[in-house]
Amino acid sequence: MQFNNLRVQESYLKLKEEYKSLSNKQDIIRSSILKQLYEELKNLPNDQKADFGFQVNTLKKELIRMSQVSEAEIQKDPIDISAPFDDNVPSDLQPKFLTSEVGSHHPLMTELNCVLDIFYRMGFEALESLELDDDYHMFGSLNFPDGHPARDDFDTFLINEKDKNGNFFIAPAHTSSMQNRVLRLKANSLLDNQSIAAVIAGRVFRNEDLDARHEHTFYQLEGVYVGQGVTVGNLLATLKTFLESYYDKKLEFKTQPSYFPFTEPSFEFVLSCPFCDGKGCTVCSRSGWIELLGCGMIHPNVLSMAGIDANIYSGFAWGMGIERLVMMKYNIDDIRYFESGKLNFLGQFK
Amino acid sequence: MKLSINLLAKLVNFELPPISELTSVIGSKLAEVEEVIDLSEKYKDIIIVKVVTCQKIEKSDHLNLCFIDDGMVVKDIKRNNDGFIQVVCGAANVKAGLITAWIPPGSIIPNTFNKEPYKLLSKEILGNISNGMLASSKELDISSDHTGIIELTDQVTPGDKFADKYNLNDRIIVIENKMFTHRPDCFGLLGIARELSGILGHTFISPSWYKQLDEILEQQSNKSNLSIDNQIEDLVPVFRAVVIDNIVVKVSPLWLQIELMKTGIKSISNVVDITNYIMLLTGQPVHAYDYNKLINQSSSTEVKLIVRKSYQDEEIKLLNGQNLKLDDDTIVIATQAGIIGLGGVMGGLLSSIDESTTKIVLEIATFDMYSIRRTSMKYGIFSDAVTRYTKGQSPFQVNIILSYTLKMILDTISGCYVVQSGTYQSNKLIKNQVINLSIDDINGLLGSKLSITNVVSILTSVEFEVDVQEKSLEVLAPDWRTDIHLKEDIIEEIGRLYGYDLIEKKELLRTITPVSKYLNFEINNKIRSFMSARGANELLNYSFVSEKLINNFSQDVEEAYMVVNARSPEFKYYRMNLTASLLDKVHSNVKTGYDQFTIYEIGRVHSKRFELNSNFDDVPDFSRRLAMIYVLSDKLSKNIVGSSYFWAKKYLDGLFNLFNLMVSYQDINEADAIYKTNIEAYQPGRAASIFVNDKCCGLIGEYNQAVKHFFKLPEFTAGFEIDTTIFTKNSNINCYKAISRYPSVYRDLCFEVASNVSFDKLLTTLRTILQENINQTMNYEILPIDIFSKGLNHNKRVTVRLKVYDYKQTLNDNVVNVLVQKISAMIFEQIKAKLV
Repeated sequence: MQFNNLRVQESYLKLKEEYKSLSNKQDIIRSSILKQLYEELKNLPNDQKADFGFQVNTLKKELIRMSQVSEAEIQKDPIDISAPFDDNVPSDLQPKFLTSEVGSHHPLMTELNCVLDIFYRMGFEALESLELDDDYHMFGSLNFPDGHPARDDFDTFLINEKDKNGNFFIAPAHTSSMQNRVLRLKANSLLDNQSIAAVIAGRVFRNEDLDARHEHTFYQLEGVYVGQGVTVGNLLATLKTFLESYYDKKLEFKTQPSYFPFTEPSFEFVLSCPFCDGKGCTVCSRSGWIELLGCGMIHPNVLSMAGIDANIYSGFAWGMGIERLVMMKYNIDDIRYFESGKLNFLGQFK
Repeated sequence: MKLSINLLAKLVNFELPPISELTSVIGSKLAEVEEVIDLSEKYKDIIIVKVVTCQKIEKSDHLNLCFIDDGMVVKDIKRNNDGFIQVVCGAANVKAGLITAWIPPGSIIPNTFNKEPYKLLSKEILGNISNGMLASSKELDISSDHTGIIELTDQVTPGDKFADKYNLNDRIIVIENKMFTHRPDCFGLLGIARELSGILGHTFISPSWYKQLDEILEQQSNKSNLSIDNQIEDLVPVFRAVVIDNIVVKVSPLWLQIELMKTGIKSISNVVDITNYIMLLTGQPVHAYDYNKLINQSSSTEVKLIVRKSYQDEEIKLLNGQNLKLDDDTIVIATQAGIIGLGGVMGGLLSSIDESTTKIVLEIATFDMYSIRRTSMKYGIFSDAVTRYTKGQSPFQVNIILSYTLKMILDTISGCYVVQSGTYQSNKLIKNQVINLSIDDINGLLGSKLSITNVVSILTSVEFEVDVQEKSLEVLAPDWRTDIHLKEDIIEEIGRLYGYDLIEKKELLRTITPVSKYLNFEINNKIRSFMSARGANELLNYSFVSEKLINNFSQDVEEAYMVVNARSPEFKYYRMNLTASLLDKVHSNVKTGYDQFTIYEIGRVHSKRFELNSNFDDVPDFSRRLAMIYVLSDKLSKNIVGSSYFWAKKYLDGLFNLFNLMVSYQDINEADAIYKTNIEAYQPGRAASIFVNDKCCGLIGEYNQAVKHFFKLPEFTAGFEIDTTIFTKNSNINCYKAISRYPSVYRDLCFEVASNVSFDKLLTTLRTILQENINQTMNYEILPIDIFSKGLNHNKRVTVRLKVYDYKQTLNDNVVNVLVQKISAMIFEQIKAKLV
């Protein structure tokens, strides 16, 4: 801790010395050094009182905190920080790694790798999304006009700092916030007759209440494909190919119309439940179908804003939650386990 | 959103398919179906009856013994000689001659149907058997009215099934309306019926009242004086108001109450119910004010409706009882005396319709969707009107809906008449424009094989106008569609109505260029395999943390990005390091019984201390981190000698070795600005800053007593946090050392040295000496064995095992002896270390 006021800082250092010598650490709050500061405060000119008073109060809080550190700040002997082990420790008690049996990988990361691997093999590049982004990438570049009510569908967290356009920074509510960046970055490859094919993984945030099915923090995988003559039929085939590879079996698919300002047309991609082959089970809530992701053909305005001629090129995009895949695969009943840090959960995923 | 199938069936001009087919087609082409509610089951037993006789029961103050006529439809029930059934009824309004609804014994009371179904039985009340019960509106689950039994005044006869006569053999489809964010028309049943026709391949024809404007007949009267002063034309392009006199406010006709009940809207009174019904039908909100209340409030003889922005701190009490103090940016409807409603959001309480109302002002208008949204968000009001106005209702339907509303009011409330109507209509309204597109545009985007005929039939089925010019189409969207601006919007319409599922799935072709894997993921995976193979458990923690967590880890909350609209103080700030979040997970795991574990996380952290990221449009930059904590519970650490620091360092040294990086551990106060912010969280003398290539890239150490106290950490806990960008992909490319075919020679060397000479210093010196003194064909390895010390004031003894070998020959003892002698001399000279 550091105080701007020299007098307070000086007293703080003295108090720290005194603290070390005290047998009852509680006594530090009653130190005459602190009392002295309060005396000085009374005699200060009015214009200095506020700042000085604030600093002294902060100091007092720190002392209270220090006094609560029960037994004492036990002054341990310093060690040789560059050594591989302590002095006088017999070789059989020197630090060791834990055994590999107790180690585990987070299931979300394992599954994300598994998903990425399929897309790599399909010819998609991978990228990461940002965890703190601006309004333009979350909304503006995705064809949401300023103040448009469609923004409300994405319960977005706002940050207390503004970007260069005067809008609050945001915690992105979807990985689509990377679409404009990826398209801009790769737009030139279109001129070489190379399609843009990328998946973008990352954390997204929604201002939602937590329950077994809803998290305010989760992982998404965005997919973007742009080229000449790309159709809805291509989109459906791409997702089908991916999911059949992921679940390693033939699956049935259907679509449900949906609405996203950044795709036109937009729909939900629904697959026959891979766990009961569409017969109905707990995973699919007995419906035989699983609503997995939102997708659509990239809106011409989104392409134009990324500098791509929408009269020549078309493309598709999708956004898919990773938690959902993992929960279904392992039959996990509560999404909150993922970020719970509970070893009795995590330790199961070797 | 709840849809009555019976109402939809009335609006379409074909027979709807069976329910399963209907829900499946709605699901695939319109919106997700959440639930289907079968009302017929709930009402199947309710019979319309006539009370034939009604006599007070002597021992009771309110009960009556009644005989009812059920038209002899109910079997197996006790009847009197005239064939009537005995029922005990306590309602104040029961009397002979009344037509009402009867719940026979053995049936479920409707308002318990969806909760805990209550099966009614014949039971004895004060010595009289009551066969079932006569029902109130509340028991029938139609409204909350429980003042008496329901009185049926319509053309019904005893013995009729209640469900047949009141349209209750109905099913309600509950759909998710997120799909309609851009479809104001679909917030009315009319719009849904039109869509349904389109997707089922029938051509929809809007009812005549929706297509053609009826004249409003004003009965000339000097009893009203209404004017409109619209001061914000851009935000309220259309504003209509009509005064209707001779209104009698009472409960709505039963059919209307029932239709509202089906969609989940509470019946209030005839006037309010009609406005709500119109909204359900068309998606256009309608509001009614009490004319006389407006007159009284403004102490004037005229009602001047002023449409304007609110003034700062103006106040209003809303219909829902909420008191608001407004800013200066809210659309309000006001009179000279003050605000009477929030335009497009909710009316005021003081001008609301009640039983005393005899004259009303009906308001229908179009409000700017952005402004309505701002108002709704600002004051937290989410009314049915807000839901609809924020989708952008078409201004072109205001007049026709007004005249249909008037017709319904005049038809329902006998004797009332229109006395005056006021109009404001902007001349800046823009109609939909013709959009040109070709059949190739359509099939090119969808991947379909549709013909022009297919397309024309699809579009005209939902009342688009289509003009065919050889291969191209000129399409005009109807007035109520405010979402059609581009050819892609038309193609969406075609694709959805045709059915995306019918489009052939066609795989993309790709070039054989290999894609490179994403570097950061690859590095993270390498770290992950290393850690988990050494018994570490990977955790993921939230990106957001509490102020308390930040303070407890000696960080400055002012440096953290704050979430303005966090739901809970637990998730209010972006985390500035991973360690604090990991420490927060230690205690609970120890408590669960984990006595020894290593947890780690790979993730990103943000801090205002970091620069803005110029590669990413100047958004706040982040730092890629790996953090790890080694924990040994107090129970187990009693038996351990040494410091937890070295157990954490074991992992870190392993990682640096994996990535072939030279690391140095320096005094923690040497850390750079980014890491220095919370070095106070660490135990002095038992923590270090980590340097690679002379750059600080992290901290390692034990935590101070305060941190241990706050996080309830076991005494034997230590960890590190480092920037993972120091790890690069090919960093272990030089890890291979050639293997010698000749035997190695081992020598254990014990150095006595002053206690302030660090192990690292000794080792580096030894390495340099070896490097300078071995032959080119030789190589060596050093393995630390032991450090012995009697305390800070004594010299310490450091033992290492030296392994020396030669690639060309078997080393002879003499060569090694000479080497050791050189080491002995030089190391003493350089750092006063004595070989013993």
